[in-house]
Amino acid sequence: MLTPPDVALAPLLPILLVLAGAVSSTVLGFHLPRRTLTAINLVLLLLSAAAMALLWSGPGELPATAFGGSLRADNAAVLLGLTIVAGSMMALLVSLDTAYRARLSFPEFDAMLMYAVTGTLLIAFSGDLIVMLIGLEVMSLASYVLATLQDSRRAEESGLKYFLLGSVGSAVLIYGLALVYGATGSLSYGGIAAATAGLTPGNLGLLVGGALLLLAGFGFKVALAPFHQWTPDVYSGAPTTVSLFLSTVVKVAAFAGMLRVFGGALQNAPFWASALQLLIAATLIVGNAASLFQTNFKRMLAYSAVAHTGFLAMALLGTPGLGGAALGYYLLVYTLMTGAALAIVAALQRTEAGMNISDLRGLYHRHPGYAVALAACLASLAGLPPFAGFFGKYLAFQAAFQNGYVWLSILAVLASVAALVYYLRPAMLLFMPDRTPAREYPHGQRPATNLTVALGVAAITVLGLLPNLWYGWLADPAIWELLAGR
Amino acid sequence: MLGIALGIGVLAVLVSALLGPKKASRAKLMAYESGNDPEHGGVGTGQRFPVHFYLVAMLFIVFDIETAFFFPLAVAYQKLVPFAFWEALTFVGLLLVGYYYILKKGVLEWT
Amino acid sequence: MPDWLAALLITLLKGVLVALALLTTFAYMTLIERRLLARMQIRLGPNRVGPLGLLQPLADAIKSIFKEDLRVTMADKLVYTMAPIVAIGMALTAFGGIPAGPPGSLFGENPWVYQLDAGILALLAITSMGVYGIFLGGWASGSKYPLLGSLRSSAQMISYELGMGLSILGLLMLVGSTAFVNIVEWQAQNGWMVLFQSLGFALFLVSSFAEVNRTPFDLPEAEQELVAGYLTEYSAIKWALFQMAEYVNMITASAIMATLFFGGYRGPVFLEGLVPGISSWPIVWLVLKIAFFLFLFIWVRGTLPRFRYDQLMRFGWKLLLPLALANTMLTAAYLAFARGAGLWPLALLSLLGLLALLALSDRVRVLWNQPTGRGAADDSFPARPLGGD
Repeated sequence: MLTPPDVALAPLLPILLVLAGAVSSTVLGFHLPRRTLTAINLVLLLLSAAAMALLWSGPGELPATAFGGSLRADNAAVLLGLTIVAGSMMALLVSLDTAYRARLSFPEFDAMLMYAVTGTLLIAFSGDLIVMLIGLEVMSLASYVLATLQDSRRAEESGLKYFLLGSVGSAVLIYGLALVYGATGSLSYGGIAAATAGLTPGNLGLLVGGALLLLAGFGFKVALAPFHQWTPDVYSGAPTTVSLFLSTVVKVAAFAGMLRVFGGALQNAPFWASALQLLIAATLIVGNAASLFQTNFKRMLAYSAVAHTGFLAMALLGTPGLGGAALGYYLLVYTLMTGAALAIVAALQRTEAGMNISDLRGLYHRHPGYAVALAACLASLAGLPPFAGFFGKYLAFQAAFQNGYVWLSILAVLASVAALVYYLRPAMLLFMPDRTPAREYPHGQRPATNLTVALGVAAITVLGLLPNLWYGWLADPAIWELLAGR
Repeated sequence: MLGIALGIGVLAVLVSALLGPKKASRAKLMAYESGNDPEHGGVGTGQRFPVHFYLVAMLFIVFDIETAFFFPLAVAYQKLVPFAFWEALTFVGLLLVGYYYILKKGVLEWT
Repeated sequence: MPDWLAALLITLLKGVLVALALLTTFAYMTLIERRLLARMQIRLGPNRVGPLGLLQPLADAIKSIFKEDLRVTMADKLVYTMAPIVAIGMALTAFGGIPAGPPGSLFGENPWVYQLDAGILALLAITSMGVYGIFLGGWASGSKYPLLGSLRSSAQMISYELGMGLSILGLLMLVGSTAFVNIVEWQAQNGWMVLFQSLGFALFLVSSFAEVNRTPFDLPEAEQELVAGYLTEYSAIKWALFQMAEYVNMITASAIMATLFFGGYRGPVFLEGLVPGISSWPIVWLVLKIAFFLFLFIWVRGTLPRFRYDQLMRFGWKLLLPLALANTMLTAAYLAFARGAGLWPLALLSLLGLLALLALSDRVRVLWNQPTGRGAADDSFPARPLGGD
């Protein structure tokens, strides 16, 4: 007799709920209007979040696992999963208002988005490299489709670029995965961590090669320079709702994978940290320098997403306890502020190309609410103190600095000073007097977008003033030191 | 076996090429197009065909991989009962979702 | 002589024998088919070359070899030549895996050329390579009718391959092995598989007809529409090789059906009373069963008209595929929850399914006769949503 694997439904439930949303959108799309599907999906996402909250294990409790540890619903997974759900709900809410105008109002949009979320949750909940890879592929394939779904040249170009470079990234990642498996003889994070603790020099080269290939593969997914080339084109070419999803949820998931692999499985492996350090330095320089010269606001946000990748990845260089907490906090804040900013772009743009920065001039006199919210988001992205972005950056820098990456921290501080310039220039334009006709899309009621923006801005303000609301849950270093399992 | 089989094929072609007459003419070597001079012929760029065939090919790959996944399960089935039944049911259920989708999308229709 | 060399030589010998046997069978199949069809259509058929026309295949072979080997100017030289070789190569290779008797029964040797544990799976893989021959042949001709013919043909073959693969899953669940010998021995103990999987067999039979491009599925050769399909630009021996591949595939399909569903190389056990040991004679039984199925192929060709192409595709995707899945799940459910009741209730269930299908055939026919879905789907496309921009 063969023994069946242990299928525990509790740790699977959050993922299954999201998958149910994807499947129902696929099937019911022929019978129900899309807005109904979106409502169903929003409810299912909320239920999934609730299921994740129930999975929270208190001190001393063992996290729920399934499939012999291949799926781990530990606290890190729950926290990252909640961040993912927040980002997905923002994307869905915004799509309620803008999808029709963006020619995206198919049931397939909802289905693909929910499939992608299923993949992202699988990454966050993964307990071994195979589950992580499956999640990554599900997420990537669905997001290629999302980027191409709009029937326009721009979307096709962006989708094709995303697909070609993304599949190269996946291939590199799989090579790395195979090498790491070859070096350690294990696919589970815990097994790899145990095997890397006492390596024989014979397969050290294999391990280092595998780790570097994994780093390059993840570099493609999170857009670390020099693997970031697709990012601006894809984010600015895709419909804004999709850009919102790609730049928040997909990035969070890729970072969750990185955290699991590098913070958990490979934490004892040598050399990858030095390589990551160089990549981060390059990302900081390229992302921030390129952002300075953008004239299109959406494209500037795309480059700012690259720059933020650099800041976020710094948290990975910290010790697991401190770095994991910093990354967890920063990812949520990043999702909220980028999501809110792109939601405003989606609401106000005339075409899916976004708007020029100069078009923002005097927005305060036409749409005071949006202008104030956008200013808050930009200030938070720049890392100005009353907002949560400041605390996120502070935590990430601190994590890297305390682990001995002094020059990188200094470079990051300099980079964020440069970032002030390109974030605050549009923020100032918002409040300047302007006599020219409005260049925003004038029509429409956007209750869902307004709700998203309001919640996002409120959250970054509150989290900035009272960071412990979220950080308190993350602060326990035990969460992040057990990423690989016991 | 493969060697023998391919060998027979190669041998047949070779023998025929050596023994057969070779009196080619332009009309003989022209591609068949109901007696007209062929237009837009040639391998590659000239050959266009309905995109529907691509769709069928892609669907085939999806469903064929699914069949391939089913084979090991079928072989081990009686050793894993009843767990394997629920496993198979889940698998087929998800498959049917995709099947329903392509059915409703009209991919299986030929006009 | 070292052992490995002896084994190699014996394998080679068996391989050559199988190949020659297949080619001879092919040659006489053409004659038998023409004679039988003629009889069904109340005419005479070829009877001039030799007694009863027995030398006709020989004459055809000589003609094919000595005919001028044309290669049209627009063709891709290499692929155009390769395609028939691939087709015949895959067709011949496939047959070698089928056992013609119990292990060690052929003068102490195993009566098969090669034996893989993957058995039926490997065989399906090899036969599906035959699509390459057809598709490449049509593509490399650089002409329009062959291209269309080969596209249709490959679309047809890959579509019906799904039904084929899925319809044997129930069988594999019962046996628990993909190796042919195990499948045959299981049937020797429990009775022929066609009893327990009559629905599965019906589906497999239909898919086999489509796989080998025989009537009523011989769309690639729909001469009214496509001249001669992928064969249009082929002549002489290359054309003969394609024909050969088709007939060899037919023989292989017959052998697979005999092995999977009709007890394979084992004869009926009740004959043991007359001649002890008769049911395990090698080769004889398999050849008899193959002959029966070959006759069936010809019989059907003499009886049924050809499908229209859209009907063909709908038939494969809308009827065969779901039914094969249903058959699989029926067997799976039975094995999971009612295994204790023995196998006969399953046989009854399967038969009932088949009979229900036949009884409802007028309703079922709508599935593949009429287009459905697309028009309705377009009408229900969501209109501009309420609210929003």
